[in-house]
Amino acid sequence: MAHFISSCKSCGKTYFTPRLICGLCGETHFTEKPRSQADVVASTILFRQPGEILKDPITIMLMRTDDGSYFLQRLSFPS
Amino acid sequence: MLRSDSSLDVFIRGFGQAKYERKPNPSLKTQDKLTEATILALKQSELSISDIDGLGVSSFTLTPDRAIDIAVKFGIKASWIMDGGTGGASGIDMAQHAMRAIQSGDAKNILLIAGDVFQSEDFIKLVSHYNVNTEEILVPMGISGPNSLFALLTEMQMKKHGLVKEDYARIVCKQREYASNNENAAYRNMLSVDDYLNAPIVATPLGLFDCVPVVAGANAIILSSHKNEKGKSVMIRKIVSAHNSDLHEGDGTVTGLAQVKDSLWDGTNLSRKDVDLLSLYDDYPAIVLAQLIDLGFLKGENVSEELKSFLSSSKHILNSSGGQLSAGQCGAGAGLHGFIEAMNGLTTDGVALISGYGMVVHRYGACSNVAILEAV
Repeated sequence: MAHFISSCKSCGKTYFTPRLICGLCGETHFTEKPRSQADVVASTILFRQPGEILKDPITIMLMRTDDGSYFLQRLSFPS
Repeated sequence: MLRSDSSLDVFIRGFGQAKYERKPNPSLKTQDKLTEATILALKQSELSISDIDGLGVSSFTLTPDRAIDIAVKFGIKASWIMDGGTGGASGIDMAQHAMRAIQSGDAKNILLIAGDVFQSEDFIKLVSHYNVNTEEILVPMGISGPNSLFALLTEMQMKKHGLVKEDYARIVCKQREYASNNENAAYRNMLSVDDYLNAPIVATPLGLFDCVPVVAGANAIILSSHKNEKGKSVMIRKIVSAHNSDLHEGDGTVTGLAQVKDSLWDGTNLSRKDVDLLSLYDDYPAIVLAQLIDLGFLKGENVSEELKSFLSSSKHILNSSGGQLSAGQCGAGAGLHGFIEAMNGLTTDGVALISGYGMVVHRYGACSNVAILEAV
């Protein structure tokens, strides 16, 4: 479940999800770097999925890193 | 003779909506619904299939067939063809291309069809393999389908504008009022605010009635260089697309329409106040609300009060078929749902604004587009 932020090797612009071409400088080479500090922006408890009612509801959080990238994170997996 | 005239009028001269079905017969195929919608559109247009020389098709479940397969099965000789791939935005996208094709002389009568039939595991398969991000990021987290993503978006919108669930109830319940008059709607019973608030939770804060009922169905429109002298015709006045407008770096509470809300009207001699019908893409009420703000129908300062006033006014009718939230979402057919709604609802001199939205690339829809239609 570990996610990394994709960072342009040329200009350092960070992305999540990964890009193929850097929208800032046009380069195509990226490196992965660990996420920086992130805050919870929103959260939801998921009770129903298509075709099923979950026995163990899932908590999903939307996180925002210091450099402005958003990513999703699941709070915990059922035991 | 080849001509190219961007000022050439293009009309919608035929439209058809196949029956929306919550539980389709197991033998029903997507091509059956596309055929059903096409026959209705042809009948309404006063054209025959041999008059059609252009074809655009959008569907998730038609695969492995594509537009050319439908052309063969329908007997269409096409000088213009398109496979639409932008889901809820595909109807307006296809119309944008088709309009230019007619103006440039590539075709005279273009049939645009969109729809889906989801059998047994089809829908789960679709939402689990929607794109690479879904397969690699969302599914491993246990997320299937867009509900939890739009739950997050809704929560952010609620915080941003100080909204409560009752605000969203107003949209859903108002649309349900209209759906009671739509024989093709999946939900037709009146819905009270209490019904809405007490519905089973899907993903906080979204309840059952915040999520579209999935249906089997299809929609069809016929664009033409000539209007239907015997029946209803509507002129396409403008189409604007704003896809990936925020590079998918925002929080999703603002759609691409915010960037085109003023330029949209350039060259039309129309303005926001001329709009009679609004057919806003409504996969979730939060997206309806976002578009109302982005298009300038709400100022976005005191959204709760502005929304209450907007919905109680008779000036603009919002999603007069009940929208997808009541009528149902037939997969990619939702991209043409607004056209059908507008064609049914427009009177002789009315103006309709239709929007498309969709294709959740990671956290929210990356596609937005809008069309202005005027009855002639």
